[in-house]
Amino acid sequence: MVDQRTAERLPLAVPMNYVVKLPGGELSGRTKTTNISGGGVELICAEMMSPPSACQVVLHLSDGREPLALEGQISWCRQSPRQRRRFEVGITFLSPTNSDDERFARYCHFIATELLKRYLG
Amino acid sequence: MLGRLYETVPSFLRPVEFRIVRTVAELKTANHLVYQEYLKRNYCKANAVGLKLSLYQALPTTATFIATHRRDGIIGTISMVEDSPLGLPMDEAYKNEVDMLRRQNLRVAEVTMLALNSQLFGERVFTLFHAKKLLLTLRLFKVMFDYLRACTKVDELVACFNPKHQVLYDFLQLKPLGGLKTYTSANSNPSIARHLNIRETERQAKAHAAYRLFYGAKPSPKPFEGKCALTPEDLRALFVVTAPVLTAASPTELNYLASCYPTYRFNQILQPHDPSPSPHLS
Repeated sequence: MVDQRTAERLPLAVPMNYVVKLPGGELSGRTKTTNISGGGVELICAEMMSPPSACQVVLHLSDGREPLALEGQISWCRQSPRQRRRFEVGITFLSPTNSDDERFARYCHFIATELLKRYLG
Repeated sequence: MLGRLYETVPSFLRPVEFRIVRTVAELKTANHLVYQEYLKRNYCKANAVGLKLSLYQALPTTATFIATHRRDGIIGTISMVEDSPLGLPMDEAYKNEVDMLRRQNLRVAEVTMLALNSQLFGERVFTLFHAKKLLLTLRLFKVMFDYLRACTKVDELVACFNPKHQVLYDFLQLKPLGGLKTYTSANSNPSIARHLNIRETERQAKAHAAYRLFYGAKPSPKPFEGKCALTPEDLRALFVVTAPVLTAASPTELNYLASCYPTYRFNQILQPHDPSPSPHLS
């Protein structure tokens, strides 16, 4: 009965921008998430990104408000088994240092709303 | 994999019934769950009886709701204390703030004693990110909302809680009522206060994912007819013998409580030893 999952992944294609801080400079791009959870996002992009590079993610959520910027780090990156020259990337969001962080709260509300849509319609 | 994951949520909730407490045994189990979970978080001090009892729970207008699993028993609980001459639990820290609502002639009730069995979800699971925990919490709120709409005239819900739970209450759109304070009843942990206007939630029922759940069909009072009614023996067993709640109450508090149970013999209820005959007026 114990469910140890800390956050469930939702298969949502959320438009996003990213800026990854690599040793040789910054890498930026625009893509869509392949799934999204309270802990972070997964995406597909054209570039290899080495963990644990720091990155900033800007999510264009469907809540009608301005894009939401969150800090994170690359947690894994692998070549896509389905698309040549594409990489699947997992980004983990950094824990907010302050629970008052409005951006984090907005992200939490977005995830909860999507979970309720999923299960309650 | 994802498909299977999603199927686990309805199958998790299917054997769970959300309803009002019907027996003293359920009330004690729910209260023990609150005690256990609050103790884990240092929100209360350890005591020998393993319960978190207060005078407010002796009032007939206080209602406790449970999520009870067919196999595992009570796995979640929430309570609602209606305002009365005894006030509300959170008056201890936020009386001025709640008085502002009272002065507007709003009928106020406090949401309190929310607890879920943390053994179900493992450690460090955040409610808003975890569908089972989120739905369990919101279904508890829903049964409380149903009761509130079907059986009370409450206008305004108030709550005070540790700021680390603020994101959940913000999601439910509770508005600021009182700032950061030390809450003695929560073992001197920090707390903040929020309030929610019931009519406002109804107006926004279609626009908010959680409110849509709360405002389905118009609730009937029938499911609440079996609400646990404390007998004189229950009052004595729980609030005198198990914990000295009534014996520590002031004469004014006791007088009000006695007025809520006009047929009970309070002089016998308050006796520390087994009274005889029954403390119920014949």
